[in-house]
Amino acid sequence: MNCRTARQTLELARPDEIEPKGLDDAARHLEECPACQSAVRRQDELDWRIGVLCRDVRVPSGLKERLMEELVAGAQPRPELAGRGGQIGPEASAEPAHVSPVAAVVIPVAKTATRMTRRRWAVVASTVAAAVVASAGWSALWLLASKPTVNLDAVTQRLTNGLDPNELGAFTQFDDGAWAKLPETMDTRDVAPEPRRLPGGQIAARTDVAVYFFTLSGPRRATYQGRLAVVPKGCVINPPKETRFGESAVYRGAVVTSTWVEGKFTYVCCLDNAHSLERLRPRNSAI
Amino acid sequence: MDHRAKLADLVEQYYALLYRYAYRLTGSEADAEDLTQQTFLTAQARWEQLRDETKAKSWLFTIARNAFLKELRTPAFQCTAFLDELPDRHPQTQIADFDGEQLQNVLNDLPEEFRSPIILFYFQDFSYREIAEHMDVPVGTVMSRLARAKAHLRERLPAREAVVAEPWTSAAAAFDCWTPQDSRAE
Repeated sequence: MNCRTARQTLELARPDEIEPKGLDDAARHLEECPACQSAVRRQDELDWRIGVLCRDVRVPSGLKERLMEELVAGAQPRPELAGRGGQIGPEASAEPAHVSPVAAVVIPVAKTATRMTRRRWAVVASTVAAAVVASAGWSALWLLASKPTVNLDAVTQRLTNGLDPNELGAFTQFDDGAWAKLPETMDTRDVAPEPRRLPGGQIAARTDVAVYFFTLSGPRRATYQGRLAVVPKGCVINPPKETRFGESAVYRGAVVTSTWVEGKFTYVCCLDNAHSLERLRPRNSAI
Repeated sequence: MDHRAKLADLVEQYYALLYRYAYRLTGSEADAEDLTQQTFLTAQARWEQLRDETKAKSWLFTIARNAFLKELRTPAFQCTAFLDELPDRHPQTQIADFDGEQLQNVLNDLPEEFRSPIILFYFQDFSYREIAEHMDVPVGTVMSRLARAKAHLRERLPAREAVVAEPWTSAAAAFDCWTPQDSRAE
């Protein structure tokens, strides 16, 4: 057995556990190999240190008591359900209840006129208040949802770090119902027709991004990967000034990125080989 | 003993371990406490799903993981690193030199399917079979993920130079599969 296999085999061997294949051979190898002895000793030290630190988490004081309280509270019938099923107090069992369609508030119907009036006022007031709060909440949510959230730097970084199309689902439409559209200022003949969906959550945004993947052939049968992200123009926090593919480009090592706005969309094109940029300019491009 | 008393027993037995797991999973005290609380509330609500009480620990940790995975879909918890993209930073000629916070940062970089098993592995409270049940994957997959997660930790955790230097096959790819394939002598 060689050193690599021996170390692999020994790495996860634990007492009273499933025995990995070849453990005896690995153990024999270890006895005779000073390099492996040293490496395994270091790995054991590392494991020990990680284990100690991993378990060394201070549990907040009073957590157990808080959990117990929550469980007790969770086991009690909820006050708003008392009139329907909880049977708390003589009034609850005697009075029927109906549910307001506006705020799903349970409105118990009292027996005396005075109490009925007072309660109705209270219910009306609370219903109106609930409606106002809900309306304000929806407005805030609407404002929040309509605010641009896509940072192109985050998109660029995600594209630059490499994306596996197999890890992304199929993209269908943007939130406003629009379909992703390929740009006209870039040669898109090699671009796969079906975009993939980069979830907004992966770039700390609320809008999903459509990503097209493509492969370009280079010299000596080399191939280079490219990725083209499409984002609705209005969703971008930091839209670029450029209006054509390749109008300006950012080079990071071998990777080149071009960002531009065209029509209703902002595009980010990332190529793993900087020389590929020229390949993607349309033949009739004046740039 | 009724189920409330049994649940109270489970809280007594596992709340600390569960909180530690939740903390290492989320990287935040507030989120860990929420997750622990959510776990026990869910356990209470679905008590009848626990058919074998000897598997209560595994059941609780599965509830916690599922609750976390649900949260993971929100932006705050999204993890964007993938093991294959990680560069080799520290060859195995170095000695571990890091603290709990640095460990947490490196754990946060791991995708959840690697983070959960490695946390449970280092807790030493779970067998490989239990981790496999918890993750709902075969034991071999757990082994493979553990090997890759350990390689990730080796590469990303800060280290200082060792006195004696010697080679080691440190790339995550070296641990792609559990069953050793390469039988050539070194």
